[in-house]
Amino acid sequence: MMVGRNIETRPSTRSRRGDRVMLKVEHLSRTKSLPSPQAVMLRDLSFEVRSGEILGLAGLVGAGRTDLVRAIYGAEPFESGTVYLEGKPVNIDSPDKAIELGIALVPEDRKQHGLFLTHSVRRNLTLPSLKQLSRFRYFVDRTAESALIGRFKKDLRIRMENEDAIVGTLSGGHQQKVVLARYLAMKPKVLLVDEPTRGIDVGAKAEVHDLLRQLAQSGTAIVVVSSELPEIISLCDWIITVKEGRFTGEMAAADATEEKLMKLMTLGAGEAHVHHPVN
Amino acid sequence: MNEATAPETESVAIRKRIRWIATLERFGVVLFLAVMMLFFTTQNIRFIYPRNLFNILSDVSIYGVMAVGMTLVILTAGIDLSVGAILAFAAMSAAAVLKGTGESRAIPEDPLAFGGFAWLIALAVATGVGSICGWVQGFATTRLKVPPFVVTLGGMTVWRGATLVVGEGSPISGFAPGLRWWGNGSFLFVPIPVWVFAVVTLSGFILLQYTRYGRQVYAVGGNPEAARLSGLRVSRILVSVYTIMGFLAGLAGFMEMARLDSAEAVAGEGFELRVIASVVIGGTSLFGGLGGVFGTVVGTVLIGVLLNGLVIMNVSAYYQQIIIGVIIVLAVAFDTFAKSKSGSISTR
Repeated sequence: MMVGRNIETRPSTRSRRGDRVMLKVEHLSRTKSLPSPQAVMLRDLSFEVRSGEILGLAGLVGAGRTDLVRAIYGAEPFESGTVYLEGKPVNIDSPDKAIELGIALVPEDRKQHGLFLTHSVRRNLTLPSLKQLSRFRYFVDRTAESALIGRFKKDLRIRMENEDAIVGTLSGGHQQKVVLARYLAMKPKVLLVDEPTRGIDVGAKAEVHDLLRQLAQSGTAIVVVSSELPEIISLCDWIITVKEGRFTGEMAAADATEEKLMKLMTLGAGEAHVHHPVN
Repeated sequence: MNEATAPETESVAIRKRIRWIATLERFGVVLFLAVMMLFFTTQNIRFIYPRNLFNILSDVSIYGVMAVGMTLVILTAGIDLSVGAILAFAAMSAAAVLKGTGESRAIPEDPLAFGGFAWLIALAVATGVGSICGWVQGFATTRLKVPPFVVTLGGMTVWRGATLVVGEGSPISGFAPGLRWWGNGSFLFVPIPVWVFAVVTLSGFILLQYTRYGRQVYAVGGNPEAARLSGLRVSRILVSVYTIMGFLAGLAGFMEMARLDSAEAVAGEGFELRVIASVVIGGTSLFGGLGGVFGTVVGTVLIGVLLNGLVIMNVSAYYQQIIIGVIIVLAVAFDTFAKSKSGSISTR
């Protein structure tokens, strides 16, 4: 197939941090039936994320980045392709399976898909980790739960009166931190984050970024979806650009500029095929 | 971290308002109940006699048992209109197992039939049948994606018809004393139905407040999509909730047949509305995710107190219905008002 433009690609093995491939996606496609009218086609997407690495997916709204991470998480179906976790192929057809395997997704829309706005911080924060916080198997160990919440309150500087404060009364930034804390509390091996700092103030934004960096340092593989190019460039190690459900280019964040990314996100290979090695 | 102080003071004010609303939401009904009891006592001192109070509790316990199950259902933003019919079907099935469907049912039951454990068989059959009915409805709502309102509206007719089939159109009555004790006996001066109500309430409270399952029920009602993305198996939880509801409707059927010494095809007719009213008056939101068993007990007792008090005051039965209807609407209006207040705050 003709490559219309000169696309900047590098062998993905060079200048990438970490050694262990945590998440690998091969030829993930969804072109025939879409789960909803808003859903975007996904065309033969392959990538990998290593332990300790932050991978950024850059693209315009509707490019398919959210669809991709949701498909990996089992929140939406896909037609073909394989997802590998630590080298083993896994079949994730629902979020509970993803969570069991150690994959977490921080959803894009924290009010619709993330929070239980009328519930307490306690109930919001520990929901996916209750299995680890149980006593006599079926009961919630409130002491362990409080300890966990206390730790996140301190680490993330979540401002709340107490654990039983209603989440809807917190400010946007602190609400976002509660959602993040919920998925961090389950100690994921792979963390997918969709728009981690949308609608939150500058101070909270920096804190969320620090948090994600720390998490990567501790060995978690992170995939960040963001519409803010400065965020992608400063936060990530490696960036893949997405347009209309296709990958149109990739580069190390160190080499990336907003102009380069924007070009790939908008003009990038309409019909072109980006070839990038999967191993 | 330097944040502007203006929004900070504003949020303190909001928080205070929310706390006020939450307190009112939580204890408003209790206050209302207390005032009402005081009022009825001033009208007729006999109202407050322990004997009368136990009568009230005894009368409401069958509704109360189902209301605990209904609390779970409504917490998931669902509804179950079939509980009255399940009650009748479960009781009739249990009676048919005990006494057969032929001529044998006219004979008064031998107290020593089934080794004196006729009640245990009746209990097992009634709760078993109830659970199956509930499971079927839960399965239908989650798999066929038919709203619970419609499924249980259908179920209401189906189970009522099944009751007529099993009972061949007539009541089955005359049970062993061991079974009747569950409806009319007492233990430590407290009627047995009240004990059953207490045990079910306590179990429901512990289930919702202290277990992982309880957290999941609230989560599914609060925001089903967020619950799914948090790794909850939403369908499975919904099916379990309707099954528990069916189990408790079956238990209520067992209590009703023991109390009347008879399983009737018309048993439990209209119970669903009173049960739903108890839950809603108790402050559990029809939108799901908010409320609990404590409020439900208060709501259940409140309707019982109201009916009893109106009878004591010699208010005509016609007016009783009007008054109860108005109170239900007011309770929901208050609930919606409080929710819209906290809702407008949370979307800021």
